[in-house]
Amino acid sequence: MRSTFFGIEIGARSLYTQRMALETTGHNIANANTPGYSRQRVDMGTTDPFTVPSFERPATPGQIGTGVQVEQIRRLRNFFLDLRYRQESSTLGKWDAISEGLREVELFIGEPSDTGVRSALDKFWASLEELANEPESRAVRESVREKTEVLVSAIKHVANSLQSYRDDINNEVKMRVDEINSLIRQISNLNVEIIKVEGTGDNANDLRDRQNYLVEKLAKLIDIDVKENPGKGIVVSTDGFDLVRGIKHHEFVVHQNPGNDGYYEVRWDIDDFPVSSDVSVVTAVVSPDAAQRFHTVEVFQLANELSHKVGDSTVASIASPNVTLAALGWLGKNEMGVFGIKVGDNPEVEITVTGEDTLQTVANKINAAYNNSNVSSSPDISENWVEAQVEESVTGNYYLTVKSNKPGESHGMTITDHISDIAYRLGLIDATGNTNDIDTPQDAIFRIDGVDYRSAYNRIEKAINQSTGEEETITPGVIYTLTGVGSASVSAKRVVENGKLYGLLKVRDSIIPYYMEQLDDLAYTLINEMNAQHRAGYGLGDTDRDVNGINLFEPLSVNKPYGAAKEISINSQIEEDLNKIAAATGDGYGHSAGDGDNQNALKLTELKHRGIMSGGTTTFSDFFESLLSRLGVDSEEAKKNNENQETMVKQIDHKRQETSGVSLDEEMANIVKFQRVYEASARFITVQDSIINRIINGMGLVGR
Amino acid sequence: MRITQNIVYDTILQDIMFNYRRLSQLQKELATGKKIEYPSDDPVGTVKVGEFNTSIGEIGQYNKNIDSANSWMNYTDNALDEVGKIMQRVREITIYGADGALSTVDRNALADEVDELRKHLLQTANTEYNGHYIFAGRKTTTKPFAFNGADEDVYMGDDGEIEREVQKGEKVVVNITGIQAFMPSKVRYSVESDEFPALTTFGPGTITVKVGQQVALVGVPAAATLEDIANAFNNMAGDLLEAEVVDGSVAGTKKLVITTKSPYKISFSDTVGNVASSTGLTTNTQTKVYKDKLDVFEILKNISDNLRRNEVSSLSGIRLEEIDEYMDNLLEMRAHLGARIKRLNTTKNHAEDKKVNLTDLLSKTEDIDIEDVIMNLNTLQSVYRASLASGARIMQMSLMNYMK
Repeated sequence: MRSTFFGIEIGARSLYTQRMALETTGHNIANANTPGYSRQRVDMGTTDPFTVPSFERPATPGQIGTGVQVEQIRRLRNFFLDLRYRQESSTLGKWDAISEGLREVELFIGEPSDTGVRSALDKFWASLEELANEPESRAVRESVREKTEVLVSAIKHVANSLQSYRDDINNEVKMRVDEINSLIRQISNLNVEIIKVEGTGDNANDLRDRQNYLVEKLAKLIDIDVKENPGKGIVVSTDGFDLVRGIKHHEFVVHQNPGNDGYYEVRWDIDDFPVSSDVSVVTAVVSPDAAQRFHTVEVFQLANELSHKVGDSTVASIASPNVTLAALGWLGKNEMGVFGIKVGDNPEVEITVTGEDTLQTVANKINAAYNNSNVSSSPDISENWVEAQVEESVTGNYYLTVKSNKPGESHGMTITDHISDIAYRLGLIDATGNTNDIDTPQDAIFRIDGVDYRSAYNRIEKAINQSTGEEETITPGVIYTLTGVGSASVSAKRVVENGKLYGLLKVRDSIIPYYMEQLDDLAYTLINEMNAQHRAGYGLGDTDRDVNGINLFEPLSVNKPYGAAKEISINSQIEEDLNKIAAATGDGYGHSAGDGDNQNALKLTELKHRGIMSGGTTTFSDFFESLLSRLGVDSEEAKKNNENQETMVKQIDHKRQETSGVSLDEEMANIVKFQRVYEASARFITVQDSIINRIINGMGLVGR
Repeated sequence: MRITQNIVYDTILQDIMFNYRRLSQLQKELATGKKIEYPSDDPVGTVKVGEFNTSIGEIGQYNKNIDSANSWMNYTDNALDEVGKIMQRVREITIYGADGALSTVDRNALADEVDELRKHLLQTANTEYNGHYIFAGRKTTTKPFAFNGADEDVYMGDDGEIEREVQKGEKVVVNITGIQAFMPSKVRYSVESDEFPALTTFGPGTITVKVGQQVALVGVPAAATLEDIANAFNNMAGDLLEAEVVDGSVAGTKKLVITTKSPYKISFSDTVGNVASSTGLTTNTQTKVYKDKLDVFEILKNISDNLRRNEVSSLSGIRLEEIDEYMDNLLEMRAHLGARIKRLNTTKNHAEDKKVNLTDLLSKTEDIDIEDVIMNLNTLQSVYRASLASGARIMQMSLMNYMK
């Protein structure tokens, strides 16, 4: 038998349920603009009907409905789209960082313009042409100096801007890692709360939305996998490593890598492997593109990065660089002496001197043998030649030094006397024919992954394979810097493979270094080729027309490409004395051919059209153009990828919004729907009330 | 498909922003007049712009070099013109001074004029252009001609050539050295006979020799060796030529070498017998050879001396010949110089044409087509306006507007 108040109970249940639905609608409207929010719906269901089957069930027909109840409050979400959204936004994060990075590089290189490196190069060559037109003019020499300085500062400006941009990116890496760690902590904290809420059987709708939103922010930064671990919240992992599992979490840590200018390397806190197991043996820069593996490194000997330099300050007491060899008693006045200089495996170059020569003219003759059609097997690549200088010892003696242009044992010199023992007298070789070394080059000898290598420098990407004798890239994407003798291992391993953080690391360790390396190559070749040709020529005026061997650019502290673009500067001697700009060639006797001679200036301008870059195939301008074209293509591609990816992420998001988004029209309609039911239910209770009223107040009063 | 207000708002905003971005891009193009701001805007175009700019700059520089070379050469030509005028006057004086009727006083006066002319010539030889001595070879800061104590002019310059790069890899010599201009070598012609064993004999016969306009007959005796023929030439035509016998290329053979004494070509013919043809003199090619120096200062000094010493025959003979030979040389030099200037001008004209072409190409690559951009701008403006209008209208619509 049903209770008298049964109807009131049905009405009350309905009122309660409709109100909850109305309130949820209000919650939806309130959160229409909340990022990550998914609309919620109150699932309504009938309450258990009356009666339940049993022996004692009343003998009334049934079952009769007992009203409505809230079954659950559910959020509407397409979980498959969430997965895609996360994946695509990782890729978007990557392209975002890369396209931004390339854009900045474009800004720094500043081409096409009238102020960039390319136009500075053009003006530099033009000033040398002017020098060839008027080698005697001070004004023209002034302009050569100015244009050289403009070129130098253009190259330096780009190099320094790129460097400081790398520093900025490095700071951003640190910031992003902090952000990632904060996200990981928040996600993990939400797991705790979600586990509590859902343990009671409720749906943690809003907490889940909030957590999902944080996960999506994280997905933009790094590549992650997200799995539901029933009853224990979600598991967030990257590359198989759990960042968040239930209530536990792991964070990223950063370490400054001494091999990579002290920039931050990103690691997991419990798998905190170093790039190099022993930084006193080797440090390394690992590009994000390098294959993941460990490399064993054994260093047997470090390179001293010196060029071979010979000479002997004590060979004889020579009070002035202008004493003739005849006056020293080394040669008869008209007697001839010949010695040969051989650099590495290159053909020997013969230097002929006479009794009339002085230390200075001997040095001049050696310098002037560069790119000189009158000298047999004359070298025309700077690294195959030498630099001769007259130096003063501490005791005031003058002596001749000869220095190879390129560091390393493969560019060591062999000096041989052919006629008269003049090289011996000059102190270049000893009585047994060995060179008197001031600086002896020493190569680095090392073994990486079981292969023996040798290299003139300690910072290496390529080295000579000892068994094949060929130069080869040791490990693609890894630049080693040898720091001491011993053995160590280098781990080419990375913790992120996608997302903004990966993009930043790629910009920092792969993209910017590439353009810096190109610029270094340009500066290095410019310095060495121009210097060698400039040293072969003579200056202007009474003092300078008898001296050559002056560099146009200040020589690098260590003659290697790495860092050349930041170090390039005009030779201070030229800055102080314009007469030292060497427009004139030699007369064959160790003196200038005349103040009006422009042959060396013409040879300097010829370097413009000579293929000396990229292993002797490209001119300076073409080299720079191809750098620009690569930058343009790369940047364009990154920009397109970024745009496409952005569109795709937007589309997926819209698709998601189709399910999860709050439609105001719909909510308005729902308000009306629930309100009306609420009103009707209220009326139903009124009816019930009046029925009961009738029973209580109007029943059993027949005839009253 | 379920569409929510936020999707619509988002899409509208995205489209408006996209259109606005394109508008601002076009506006930037219009403001700068350039299509390319960053390499990524047009990687190929960027490279082309660089190459065109470099080429245009290069051509500009080569044209500057040509101008510099031209003015140097024109300056040289003017100086040589001056030299020509001086020598013309000297020639007149020499002819006049060779007149036997002149008194010693008159000749001394002429000698004084020649001395003055010589000083003037020296000045011309030391001509400076833009601070450089143009006749000093590469030693342009050294005065090329100076009197030494012994009343002789000494050349202090060198024989170096000064070059200008007028095109990629093409250089032109712009200077004429003091030696070429004032101390040229004498031009002579030389003919060699065929080679014969040492004791081969020829003749008898008579050979007619012609050097320039002058003719001589040379009688060759019977059974004459090459030595005898040489002697006959030297005896009978000694003022026209010089003959000698030298070893041939094959051991034991000899040959006859005949060299003129004036800068004219030589020809032989057999009048009697066949000595000239059998020795090969008539058929062998003659070569230009350079002998001795023709020092113009010395010529003038000698003329002055001859005038003062009344050496009339020297004046009318050797001096006049020397003057004429020098002036021929001068004319030839100026002709060469003129040809070089003309060639440079042609080169420059070509370069200018190329520059115009390149500038045109550069503009096509780098500059915007204004009409095109403005057209696009207008179209885009309409699109932008439409997107704003439609967006505004859609955003206003809502169920709320109809519910009270």
